[in-house]
Parts: sequence; structure tokens; C-alpha cells
Amino acid sequence: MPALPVKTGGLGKTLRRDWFLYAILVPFVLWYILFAFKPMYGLQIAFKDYSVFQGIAGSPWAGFSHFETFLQSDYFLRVLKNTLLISLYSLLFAFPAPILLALLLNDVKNAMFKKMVQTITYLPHFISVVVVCGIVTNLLAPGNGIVNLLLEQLGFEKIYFLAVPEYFRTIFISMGIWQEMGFSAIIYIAALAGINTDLYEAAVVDGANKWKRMLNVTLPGILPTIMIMLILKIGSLLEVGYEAIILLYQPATYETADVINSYVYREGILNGRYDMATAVGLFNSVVGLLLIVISNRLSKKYTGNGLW
Amino acid sequence: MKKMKSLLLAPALMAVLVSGCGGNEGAAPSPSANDSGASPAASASPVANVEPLNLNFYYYSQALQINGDLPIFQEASKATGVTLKNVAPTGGDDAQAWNLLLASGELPDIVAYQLSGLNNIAVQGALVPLDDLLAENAPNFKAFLDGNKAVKSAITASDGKIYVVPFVSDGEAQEGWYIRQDWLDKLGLKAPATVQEYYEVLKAFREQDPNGNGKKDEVPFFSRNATSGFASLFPLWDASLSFKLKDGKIVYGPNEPEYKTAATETAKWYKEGLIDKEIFTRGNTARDILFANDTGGSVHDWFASTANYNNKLQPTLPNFSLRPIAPPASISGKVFEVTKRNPLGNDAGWAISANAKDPAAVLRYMDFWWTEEGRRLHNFGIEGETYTVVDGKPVFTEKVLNEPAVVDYLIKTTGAQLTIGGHQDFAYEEQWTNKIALEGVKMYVDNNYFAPEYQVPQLSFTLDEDKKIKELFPPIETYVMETSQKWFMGGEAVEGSYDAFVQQLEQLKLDEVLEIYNTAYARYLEQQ
Repeated sequence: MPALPVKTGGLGKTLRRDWFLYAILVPFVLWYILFAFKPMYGLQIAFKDYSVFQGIAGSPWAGFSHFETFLQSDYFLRVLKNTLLISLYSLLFAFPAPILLALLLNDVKNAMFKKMVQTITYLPHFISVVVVCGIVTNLLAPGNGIVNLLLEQLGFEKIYFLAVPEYFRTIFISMGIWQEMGFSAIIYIAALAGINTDLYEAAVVDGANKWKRMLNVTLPGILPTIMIMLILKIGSLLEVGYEAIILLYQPATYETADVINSYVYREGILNGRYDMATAVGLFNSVVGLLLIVISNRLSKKYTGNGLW
Repeated sequence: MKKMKSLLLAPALMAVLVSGCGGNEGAAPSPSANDSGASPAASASPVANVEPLNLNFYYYSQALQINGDLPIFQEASKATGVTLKNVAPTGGDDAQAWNLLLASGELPDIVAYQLSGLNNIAVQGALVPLDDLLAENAPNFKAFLDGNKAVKSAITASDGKIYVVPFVSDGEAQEGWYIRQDWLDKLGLKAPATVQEYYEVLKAFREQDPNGNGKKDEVPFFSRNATSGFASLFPLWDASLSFKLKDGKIVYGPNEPEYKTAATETAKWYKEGLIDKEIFTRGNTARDILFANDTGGSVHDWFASTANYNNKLQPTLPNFSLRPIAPPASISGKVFEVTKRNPLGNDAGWAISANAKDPAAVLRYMDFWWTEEGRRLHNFGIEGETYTVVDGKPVFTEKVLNEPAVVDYLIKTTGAQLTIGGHQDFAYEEQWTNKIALEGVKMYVDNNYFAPEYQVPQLSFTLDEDKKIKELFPPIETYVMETSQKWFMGGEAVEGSYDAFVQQLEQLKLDEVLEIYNTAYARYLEQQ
């Protein structure tokens, strides 16, 4: 293959030649400028004593005082711990679940059955989180919730699951798995379809059984996909799905349920402390960025795959 | 970027959370048997302003689209020449819409919102102070204020000026104790008069199967307030989950010794099944569910809407009889009710923004609603359509009275009873309120059960005070709710942890918060 010419001429020349390609790009660049970069201007209120009427530019600077308040607050360690634990558990339990599902489906021979399972498992993804939380609340209700009715029939005490801190993380993560497993599996199923069938034939000739084929052909085949998904997941480690948390938690379960984002919600929206909430949100984002950079480095070093 | 996403998502959520709260009464206030203000508005004639004037206003309603051309506004424009255009968005939720309006920096001529929210932006220079304009442009509103000093000082902002024209509700009674009379009869019990008797009655409800289905499925006491409904029992032990008055000072309920007893006792009641096991997740539809399936025994809730279950359930549960009772005497022997219809309890009103070109003209328009003509329009809607005049008094038409939700119907079809600045007339409500509720209201008002120490007035804070409270109080509240719920559910024994609880409150600087509250309270008293 001949090497590509390094120099393609000046910018003007390329513009003239490929102008339609650039034209197609314009809306997306605009989108990023308008909705991703322009709002960053507002981030400065994290360092200001923000008053709506003095405006962003007019409000006095407050330095790092909001960060200090947050870091010194009684709740900082707790929300950080909860955020990290919930993320970690979902990394442990929710991340492998769709991979397992995809691997299992991959070996299903009956196409009809395969399609049916796929459809049924990804349907919950399209249910609004509000409805899902309502379903969970009803299922776990101590009075007539089906889970407690079952417990009672089996001779156990009824439990008010949603008001006991110890159960919160399990409920939250299981709910996430139920809702997202099928949908997340799609990308792995697609990756599985892309594996060269010759490899399987060669493995069969070499005498590999199903288990060996999975370990030595299937998994390496989708490893790049798994790694990319993992890096993305680590990047959003601190970005817990707080909508569901806010819908499910009670003051009684704050101890295990209150995460950085639900704290930001209470501070910013319910108490109207925009500056403080922005500072906490910024803290969250910076840590998230660090995590994604680190995990990308590690991934590149050990597997050769990375986002950039 | 992520921050922005959070900010955008959160309000959408909150809409969902908030939409559940407060029954129809929450939106538009209800009954009581005395007409306090005695309408000083009746005399003065409106300042004629027939020059056409187009004004923008902001009135957000989550449930309904409020247009400036609703019949009452059209009717008003005949008298005043003012036409309105509502710039508030539809959908979303209250706080979101308001915050977006503020962030846009372009306030319309008139903004309607919560009083504290309005006063908060007022002291930042967003609204026009009315004090100097009142005498000349708003004689009717001024006459009302002069006759109601308490309202006047409550709407005064922390800088001592008046910015808002409030929605003043009429009546005294708000919530009361209700109990299943048919269950009492069946078990041969009498209405409980003390906390001890109340306990015994609830116990009997729980154990003696008053609904006769052979199952122990009765829920003796419940609440539709998921977060703090358990605290509606606290007054039985003279305690409170929020601020109250004690010896002329504002104190914080959980910090008072009575709180320990209340927390211990309610935990015991909960353990014995006297309080709804699902109280934290039941939510706003609790009454619909527990009364309709004949398992709910007693509640502390709004008079009118609670009494309505007697009619609603008539077809399915012919014996169902839910009756108001006097508040059971507390542990110290006092009989009192903590909720009271505050004239400003709706926490609504409107104000003139600093962007308005001619504030005086806007104020003249606002004053129209305080004239006799305007007040009737605001309360009863359009003559010939929603009401007719009988013996000089407005009486609703049959069609209106037959509506299941009168207030919603009035708002939707005419705009009457919108919480714009004006004075509600209890007569509007008396005509359609359930007889059983009216009995209860009469009992509470005649005996004056309302405990003054639970009536902390609306306070106006300065900007610095407000900032300090927003910094210090949320952690305190979070801690109190968290610990109280745990105590309530028996996760932690009250005995032994209460002292640490009080210490923690001290560490969270509760005394600073109380100091600010008392400073503001002193200012309030001064203005009286």
C-alpha cells in the first residue's frame, strides 16, 4: 500500500475541494460551541458569591470558599463514599451483566428464541425512570408488595426495604441491571457478530470445546469493545444515576443513598445556592476527568486499546 | 458541562415529585367560619383608568395554562383598560420556571410568585417599592393593609419596604383530626379526648378488626405526607418538627425536651402497628387507597377534602363515616390544633418589576382587584355564567356547585380564585364545602383550638441573613429528618442517643440560625 501523501495542500485548497464535507460538520461544531463550551462560561459562579440580579459578571469573587465549605462539611465524606461505593458496586455487578447476557445469547441456536429474549430484555430501557421507581416502590412495599407477601408466606418477617439504609445500594443496583442489561448487551452482540467465523472453525479443528472457544476466540474478539465501555464507565464513575436515587431515597436512607449529585440537587435546586452547587458539580467533573485520563492510560499500557 | 446537565435534569424530576403534593386545597384555600377583614374595600371607588394598556405578566401554573384572556381578566380590562399577556412557560415545574425567568434577566411588568421569593428578589433591586405609590394609586389595597397590621408586617421586606400585593386567603381552620365514626360505633368506643384514649382507640382499630374482613389489615393512623407525616402526631406530646414560639422567642422543635418523648412514643406506636407501616412511601394518594379499601382509621388532614370521602365512598362503602373530632388533649392536658389558616398561607401574590414603564398605572390596575367589583370577580367569576345575585349576594350556579372540584373548575373556565394579589371571600367556599367539614371547622373555630405557639409568622430576612440560613439550616434539617426517621422506625433507640443528637445540633450551629430567626422576629414585632 503506497503511503498517503503527507501534504494535501493549504487549508484553502482543501476547503475548496471538500467544502461539502466541512458544511456537514458545521452544525455539530456549532452544537458543541453553543451547548458544551458556551455554558462553561457560567462555571465561574463556582468561584463567586453569585447573585442572580448582579449577573455572572457582576457578582463578587469568592475564591475557593465554596469548595472549602463543601470539603469541610459533615456530608462531604459521606456523599463521596456513597458515590464511590455505588459506582464501584455497579462496576462489579452491573458492568459484566450485559457481557454475560451477550455471550449466552451468542450461543443460542434458535433464532426466534434469541430475538425474543433480546427484545424482552431491552424493553425496560424504554420505561421512564420515574415509572421504574414506582414499580420498585410497589414491589417492595411492606404492606402488599409482592416481595414482602412472598417473605411472609415463607415465614419471614416483612421488611420495609426502602427505609433501611443497608438495602438501598442493592436495590438501586439491581434495578439498574434489570433496566439496562438488555440494552447495553446490544453493543456486545454487535461486536460478537463481527468476529471472523474462520477463527471458530480453526478452533474446532484444533479440538477446542465450547468453553475454550469462548475463552480464546470470543472474549479476545470483543475485548476492545469491553475496554472502551469500561473506560467510558470509569469516566462517569462519579456520575451516578441520581434521578433514580432522588426518587427512591428517604432521609432515613441518606446514610447510604446520598451521592454527590443528589447533594448538588438539594443544594442548588431546593435551596437555591447556585454557586455552591456549581462548585460541587465542578469538583465532581474534575475528578471524573482525572479518572478517565488515568484509566485510559492504564488501558493503553496493558491492552493497547484506548479512547485516544 | 456535567453541571449544566444536572441543573437541567433536576427540575424535571422535581416536577414529578412536587406534582404529587398538596391536594386541591393546597392550591386554593379553604373554609372557616369568620370573615375577618370585613372588606374595607367596599367603600372607595376604583381609580378610573380607561386608557388601554398592555402588560406582560408572569403567572406559572403547573396544571393549567393560564392565559391573560381568561374571562375575569377580560372583564377587568373593561373597567381598567388593561390587557394582560402571560409570559410564563407551561409544563416543567415551579422552581424551574421561576429560576429560568430570573436567569433570563428580563422580568415582565408583573411577576406572580411566592411571597418570600418575591421579597428576596425585591431587596436585590428587581421590584418597585410600593410605599410611596400606595396612597395615590391603590386606596383600596391600602385601606386593607391599614386594617390588617399583621398582614402588612408579614409582607414587608427585610429593608422595611412593601413590594408585593399578596393573595390573602379567608378563614381560620385548615387541618383537623378525623376518625372513622362507624368503626368507633362498631367497637363500642367513644371519640378519644386525650392522647391516652387516642392510643387505645388506635390499638382497638388495629386488633379488633373493625372492618370485619377477618384480616388484621387495618391501618389505624396514616398520613399522605411521606416525608414528615409521622410528625403530625408530635403535637400530642407538645412537640414539633419545625420552629415554634416559646416565651416570646422562636425555638426549634427538635431541640426542645418534649421532642424526646414524642420521638419515643411515636416509635412505640409505629412498632405496634398503629401507624401506617408504609408511611414513607405511601404519598399523596394515601387517603384514596386506605379509605377506599376500608383499612384507614384516622388522619390529621385538611377539613374539606377529607370530609369529601364520605360522599365519594357512599356507593361502595355505605357505612363509611369519617368524622372530625376535637384534637385529643396532649400529654400535658392541653387541647390544641397546630395548623391554622394564615391569611398569607397560600404564600402567593404579585409585584411590579423594576422593568415596568409606568409602575403607578400597574398599581392602579392591581388595586382594581381590591375593589368590591374586583373582589367579586376574583372570587365568583362572571355574573350570569358562574354565579347569579340572590338577595344582593353572589350565589354559584347549579352547574358550578355540581362540579367535583369547584376551585379547579373556576380557575379553568373563568380564572376566578387564581392566586393573584387579592382578597379571598370565604363565602365562595361555604357554598360548596361538605356539611361534615363545615361542622368540624365550626368546632375548631368556636373553641379556638389554634395554638398561638405554633403560629410562627412569615419572616423577612435580609440578604446576609438569608445567605447564612441557606448555608447553615439545610444540614441541620437533613440531620434532624434522618435521625428522626431512624428513631421512628426503631433503627436506633431514642433513649441514649437524644443527648448526642442535641449536641450535634449545637455543633451544626443551630444557635446561630435561631439568633437570625429571632432578630427577624423582633423586626416583625416592631412593625406590628
